[in-house]
Amino acid sequence: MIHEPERQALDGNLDEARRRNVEPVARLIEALRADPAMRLTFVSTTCVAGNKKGLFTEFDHDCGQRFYNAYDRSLFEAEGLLRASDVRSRVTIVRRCFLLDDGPLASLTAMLAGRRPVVIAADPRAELHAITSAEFAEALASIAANPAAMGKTLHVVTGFSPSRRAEARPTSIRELVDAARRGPVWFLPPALAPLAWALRALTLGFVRAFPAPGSGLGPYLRHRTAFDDFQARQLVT
Amino acid sequence: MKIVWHSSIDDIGAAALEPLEGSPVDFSHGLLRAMERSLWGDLAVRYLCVEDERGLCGFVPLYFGTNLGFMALMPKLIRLGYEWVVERFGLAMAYRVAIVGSLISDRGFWPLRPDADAARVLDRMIAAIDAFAREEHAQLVIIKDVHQDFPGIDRFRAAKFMECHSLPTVRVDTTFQSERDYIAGLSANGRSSARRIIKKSEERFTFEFVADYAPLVPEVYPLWRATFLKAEFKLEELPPQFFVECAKSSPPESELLVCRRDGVIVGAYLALYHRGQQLNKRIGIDYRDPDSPLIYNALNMRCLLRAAERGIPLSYLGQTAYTPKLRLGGHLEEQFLFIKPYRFDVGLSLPIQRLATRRFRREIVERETS
Repeated sequence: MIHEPERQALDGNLDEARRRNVEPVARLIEALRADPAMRLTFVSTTCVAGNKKGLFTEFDHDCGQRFYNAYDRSLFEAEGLLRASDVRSRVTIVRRCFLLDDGPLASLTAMLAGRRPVVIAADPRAELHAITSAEFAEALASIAANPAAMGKTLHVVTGFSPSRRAEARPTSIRELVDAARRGPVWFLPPALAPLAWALRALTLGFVRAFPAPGSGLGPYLRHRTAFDDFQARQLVT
Repeated sequence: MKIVWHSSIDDIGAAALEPLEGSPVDFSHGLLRAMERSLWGDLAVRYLCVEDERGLCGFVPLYFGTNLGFMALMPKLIRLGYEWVVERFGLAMAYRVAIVGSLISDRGFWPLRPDADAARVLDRMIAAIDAFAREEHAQLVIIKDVHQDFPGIDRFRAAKFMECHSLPTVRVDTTFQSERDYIAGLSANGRSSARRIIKKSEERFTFEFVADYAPLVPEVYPLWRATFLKAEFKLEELPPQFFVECAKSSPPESELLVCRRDGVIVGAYLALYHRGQQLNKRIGIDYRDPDSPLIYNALNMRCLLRAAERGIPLSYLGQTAYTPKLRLGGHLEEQFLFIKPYRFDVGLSLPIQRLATRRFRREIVERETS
């Protein structure tokens, strides 16, 4: 059984996030108890690292971090329930990084594909792990089919491939942008995001601004966490 | 005498390092190789070598990047202020730091060939570090954990580095012949504590030294991680790969002391040893266990007894948790940081840093732990 979180909005609605992402976990645990042959691959997010700086490994869970939104927190809580449960040995937690072609980053890719100027309020040197939906689907299918993944938490981040382990290091935001851009791009320090929005308003939308106000993506564009994928690599080599 | 830079310790080779004398474990080929293969973020390493017609005279690793834990010893306010600025204005605001020395050192003796002119070799190395810092636009060079007895310490002073105190290291002379001999050499307080530790730990736990411990890393790493996250000074964050590489590397030899309760691992201690010195590195504890302080003490004590059994006369226990380590027979030894700024505004903060590190002077640490 593969389970994906139901609610992925990067907002502050914790009650709703708990109702749709944490509460179903109790039912999943019951289902696993009822059927000893059943295995669960639970899709979580690397963002359960919250504001933890530095290294975040697959063995980490509660590092005293704070969360940027209810989605990340709800998945942290869901992981906590699974880790503490008596069916833990039949559960694989897959922490997914951002998707390039789905979710909040997809709007950046679309903006960069146009020729209009884009102002990005982000730290261009920060690491941003992102893979395509197709890459993630391939990784997920491979992990779910592998009994050696049971009981483990795995990071599926930039460079992970079920068929081969690419030696590529995580990509910086600048590298991601440079690979996709077709028009001019300017970076602003993350603290000056309102300036990017003002520029967009002053030019009547000609200059595009990223991230959009209220998108909840801002913190990840200045993130300084390195995601270690030791166990995921061991699984494919 | 010429300067050569390498980007991998394998380019130098273990054989070339053998004639050098310094800290035999901290600067060993295997430990530096393990570190090199587990670097993360934008951290990179270069190895500075001085060679003459007879081969290698001296060498030292130099790590540079923005994710070095160089703020670990600073007061919380300064650390938070730095984090705040970098978070809001990006890594362009982060100090580009070069740290010279072993990143997980306990006893900073740079490896030098005994027949070489030490002062001349060190002066050449310092000049090369200076040139590297300017070329790579480093804003700060930190020569890390130079031991109080390192004979070339005056060369750093002469080169106008600012001298700061680092965390002292704990030395234990493991020259005792037996457990009884070890306990007899402790203070009255230490003796009763040691007897209690041995008795209780034998009742509650089993202990095993494991030489091929790589397969245990997934099980033990969460314990190492728990200790790191709990530590007052969060020094280098080591990924799981580091421990796997340590298990594969030699020299130094290494083994893992594993402590189990009812078959479940509740503690582990990595000991690395080479040429008469042992470094007890990276203890891991399951803090959910009600006897976690006992596990800590028992692991420390058993690693010391193991060093004595092997005939290793000198053990180092690391740079934190002084109270239990001194009770187990440890002595503090001073270590120093030598810092040089390469930007005016960075230099302005150095007097504060120097002042902040005065609390790590041996007499102050001794007073606080007594």
